Amino acid sequence: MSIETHRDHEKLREVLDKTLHRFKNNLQTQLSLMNIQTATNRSYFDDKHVLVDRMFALTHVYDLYYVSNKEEDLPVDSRVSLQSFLYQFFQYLKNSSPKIEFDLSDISDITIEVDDLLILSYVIIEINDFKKSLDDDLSFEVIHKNKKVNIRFSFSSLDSHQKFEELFEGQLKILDLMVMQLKGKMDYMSNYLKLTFPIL
Amino acid sequence: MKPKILVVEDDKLVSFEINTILDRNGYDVNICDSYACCIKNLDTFKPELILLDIDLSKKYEGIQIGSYLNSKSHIPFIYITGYTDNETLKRIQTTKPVGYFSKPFREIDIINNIELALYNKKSESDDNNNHEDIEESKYSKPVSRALEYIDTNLNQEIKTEELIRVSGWSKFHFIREFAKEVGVTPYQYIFDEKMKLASSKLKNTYQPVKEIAFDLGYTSNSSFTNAFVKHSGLSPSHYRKKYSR
Repeated sequence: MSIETHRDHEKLREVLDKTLHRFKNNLQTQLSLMNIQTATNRSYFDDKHVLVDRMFALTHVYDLYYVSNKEEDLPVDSRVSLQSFLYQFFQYLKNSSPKIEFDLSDISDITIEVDDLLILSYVIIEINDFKKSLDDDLSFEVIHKNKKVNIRFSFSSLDSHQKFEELFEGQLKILDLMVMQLKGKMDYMSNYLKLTFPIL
Repeated sequence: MKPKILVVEDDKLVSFEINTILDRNGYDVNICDSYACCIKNLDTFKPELILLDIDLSKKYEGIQIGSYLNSKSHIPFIYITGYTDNETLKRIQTTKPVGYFSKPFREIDIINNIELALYNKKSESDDNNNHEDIEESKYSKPVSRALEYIDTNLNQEIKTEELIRVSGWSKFHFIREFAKEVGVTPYQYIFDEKMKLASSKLKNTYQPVKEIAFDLGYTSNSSFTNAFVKHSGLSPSHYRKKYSR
């Protein structure tokens, strides 16, 4: 085997190892979410829908990862475009649960690690389930500022979103853990919930 | 008293899940998400067993903790990992964990691994006590203490003064007795042990030479390279190229 072929072979093996590792970690996250749901008595409006949405989030993220790296001989970057993902994922959510509006400012230059993007999509799925419990309209606004992403979630039926914690008392553990995992914070403002997390 | 388990994992969902499982099964649990927190908890929490994520901070920090635990403490540890490739497994073996479990895991996987590790730890400690009672060591107690000190401090500079202190003998008496019982001088023994460990790491891991030098207590890459050449006749990188599997 020539030195170059050997080197390519080594690189390919490294990519496969990393992909297998990521695959197992993603499965672990899905499993942990289900187990934490049971342990914390998190009651979803629609359990099955939440699971299906998580699986589709995973599919969308990896589709995008594949497309972003298609031109490369070997994938070198595990970051994907936040804007492309959110467009695709919000469209998906709108198809299965109407009454969702979203507004993205220009975030075309923002890329995010695949693992973080997955957690973000699971946060959106949690919020979407709260929307269903309230039988409400939900709007998302996504802004990028100073190396941070702000996502504002607003429910039309809530006069003050500061009541959100009280309204869903005992149901927020999974959301809190995921916000911590993103190294972000959730503020319960009067007009919206604001998720802020750094772009690492 | 509940057995104390320290969980070192930076994924918040996974650590929360493990915490819930261990709590439900009657363990006293502390969670850490970094190297610094883990080291601090060794003294403050005094765990009997540690569950350690390999890919801490996405840079294999867990293996560094494993290496530290292997040389500095007798606390058994189990790796949690999504890696099952041969290179990573070879690399973790050099740190001597008592086990590992792969993600995704089930409750039964965690509990079985922990119970087995705690059982083995207890049996080992009972065996050691019996062994000490029944059989005399082949070394005198002062030399045994010095050997144990070398074994646990192999990853730093070991001064002869320290060995003399743990042996409780005078300098001259210690060096003479050590050479008589072990067959080589303390300096040569430490050197050989360090080089044995370095060879194993070069052969079985992808750990950079600089890191191996640092792990063995060498303050510069060149002093490690000189020592290694003296020992094996090859530079560390040539040795790796020739013998790595």
